Amino acid sequence: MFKGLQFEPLKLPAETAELRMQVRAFVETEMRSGILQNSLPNSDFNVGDSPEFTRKLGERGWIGMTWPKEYGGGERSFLERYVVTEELLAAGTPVGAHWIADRQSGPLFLKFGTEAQKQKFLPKVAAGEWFFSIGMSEPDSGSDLASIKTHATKVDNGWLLNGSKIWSSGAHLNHYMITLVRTEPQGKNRHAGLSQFIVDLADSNVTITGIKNLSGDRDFNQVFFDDVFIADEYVIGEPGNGWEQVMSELGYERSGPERFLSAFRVLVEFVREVQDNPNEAQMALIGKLVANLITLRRMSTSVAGMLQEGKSPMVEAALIKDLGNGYERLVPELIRLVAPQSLSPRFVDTLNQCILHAPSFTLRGGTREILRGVIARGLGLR
Amino acid sequence: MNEQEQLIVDTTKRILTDLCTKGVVDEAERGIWPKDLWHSLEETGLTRAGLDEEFGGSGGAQCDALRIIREAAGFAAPIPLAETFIAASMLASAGVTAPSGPLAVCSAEATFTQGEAGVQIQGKVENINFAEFCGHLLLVNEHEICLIPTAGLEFGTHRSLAGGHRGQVSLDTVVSGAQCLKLESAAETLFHLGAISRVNMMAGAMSSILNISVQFSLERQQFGRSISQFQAIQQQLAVLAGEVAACQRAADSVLVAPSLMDIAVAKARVGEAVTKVADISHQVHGAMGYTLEHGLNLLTRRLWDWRDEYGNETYWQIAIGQRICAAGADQLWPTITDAA
Ligand SMILES: Cc1cc2nc3c(=O)[nH]c(=O)nc-3n(C[C@H](O)[C@H](O)[C@H](O)COP(=O)(O)OP(=O)(O)OC[C@H]3O[C@@H](n4cnc5c(N)ncnc54)[C@H](O)[C@@H]3O)c2cc1C
Repeated sequence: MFKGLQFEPLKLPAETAELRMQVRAFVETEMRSGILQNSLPNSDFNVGDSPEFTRKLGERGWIGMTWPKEYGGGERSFLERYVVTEELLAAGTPVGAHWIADRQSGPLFLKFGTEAQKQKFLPKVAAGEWFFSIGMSEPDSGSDLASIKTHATKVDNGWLLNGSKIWSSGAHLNHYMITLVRTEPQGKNRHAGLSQFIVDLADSNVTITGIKNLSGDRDFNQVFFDDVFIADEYVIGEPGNGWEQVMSELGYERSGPERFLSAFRVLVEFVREVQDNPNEAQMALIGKLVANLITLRRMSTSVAGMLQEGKSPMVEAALIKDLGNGYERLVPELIRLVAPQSLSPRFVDTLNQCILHAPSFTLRGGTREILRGVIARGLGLR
Repeated sequence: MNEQEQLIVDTTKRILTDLCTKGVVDEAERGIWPKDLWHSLEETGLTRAGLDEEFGGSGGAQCDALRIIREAAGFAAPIPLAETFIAASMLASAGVTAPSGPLAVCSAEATFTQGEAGVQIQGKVENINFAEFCGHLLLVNEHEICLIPTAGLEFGTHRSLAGGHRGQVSLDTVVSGAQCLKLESAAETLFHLGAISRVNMMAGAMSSILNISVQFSLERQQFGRSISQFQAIQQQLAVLAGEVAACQRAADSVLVAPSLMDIAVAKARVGEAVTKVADISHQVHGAMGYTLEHGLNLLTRRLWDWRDEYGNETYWQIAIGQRICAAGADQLWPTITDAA
């Protein structure tokens, strides 16, 4: 077998079972009488942003779970974190506020940040109080990330930042954006001369304008930088090392349960619609979707196991994301074909929301085509 | 894979590389028994892996046998490894040591009545694999199994997509030398073991298909370069790799004490992948892959055959869907997390 295509079976350790039950009990209470009452569950990590819910998770130690205790973390395993995140997604809770900070900004600080940065930012993130955005894409730079034009020039004690980022999810709600910036003019090596800055989104020289997605939600933004001063203490890692740092985020970003669970609530609500008297086509479709889901989850937990062992499974992560995104896009498409004539408004709303968000599944976090390019490299084709 | 399993797989691979060439598979499809291949596997104990020594086995666990079956399928091995394992292990469950040599096994809509002169068998048996190559055939009805010698039986000329005979026989006769045994849920056991074996066989064949497709794309030149350099080809092979990786993982989940859910998930998922795997691999190979001469068809024809045996995708999907609906929407997620 080729490198990157092997997914060793992993059994979640016993201690995760109790944790899982704790999360289920917590979510159930919040759904019945707490802050999630009356909300339409949605398993898409990008839909649903509740600082209040996030703070409750922080109180329970369910953000920054794998980080050292001295930075507010829980020193728990990747597998325990996996269990918490998949439970929250499957239940359709609003996790958007802390998702990015928990998944990739925190680990980035731990790997490349200074001691002062770790002490300043991580405890607040783990408490569910500070939220982060990703500042990678630009109007002229999507898949070709190395072509970014946002740039900074060195001044005393820091940098002056100019340019603009786009598609920045939650930038209007979050506190900081980890922003990829050109700090040296582009030379022969396109990947050199890039750096990552922590930009305070409340800075008066930062302008944030909302962009509505096709569902009418304002989820992402364009963010403009007009001579924003970035103190040296707000550079992450070494100036010029930005590319390597950005790439290291991707293993975390691509292999998690959010890459195949986005449409899960549609499946659950569909089962509720038909469970009393399902016909063969409906049962067969449910079976097909469940067989695919169980297999994807098994692959994804294998990767969580690799992350736990300190490996960086880039090809495996790309492979899961591509398979998983393809799957979650198919879920609403196939379900509508066998849905009964008469449906509850709750189901119709769940289905419609998913159909409207589905085009984003195979774009965000690396497009289908880019992922397949990564897999092809793993196959030795490029 | 542990060390023991790795050793078994490596040994299997070595023997098959030598003795299961395209020529051998072609001959077998023309009715010539690949006796050197079988003997070599038999001598090394690989045809009786996963069976207790008490019943003539080489010891080890069922997953050893399944690893061998998966590996052999990657060579399109035209021998009843899966059937022999299933028959021998069902006989062992009934407390009997299987006769030596390759064994065929098949479900039978038949009654077995043990008499003085042998077993009176009445009924018909369809879709028997490898019967013409096996000295014995194990017939399986709901709660009984019946081992019969094949000498003198005519199995017809029906052929499978895999290129083997698919024997049919109607019996209303006393078969001397037959042995009839009680075995609780025999038919169900056969159906499950059959599905588990086919899942592993498909996973093995797919793994080879990915290898040869990547290799072919690197070697085939068009427009002055290897076709592997075309992005359209790279993207297709990436999709193929995704399906193949998913199927290996699905097959791994039925290696050790699988639940009914595990079997259903695996057979449904792996069967589903066949469409894409065959589509992409043939597309990448161009006209060459469409020839009888090229080895690709040995593998894809088997996939088209195996996906329908022991329950096709729809069969197993409905089995899953039925269970999910009966348990209700709120049990869906717990069912998924229980399937570790
Ligand atoms: C909901 C959502 C949230 C997002 N949130 C963020 C965020 O918070 N922060 C952030 O920085 N970005 C964010 N993004 C942006 C996302 O990372 C980009 O959409 C993605 O990288 C693709 O860039 P693009 O949209 O400019 O498409 P392009 O790169 O212009 O691609 C357009 C099409 O061309 C294809 N293509 C491009 N290059 C190649 C190639 N080499 N080979 C083959 N095909 C190619 C692509 O696959 C795609 O199909 C978000 C996007 C979405 C949809």
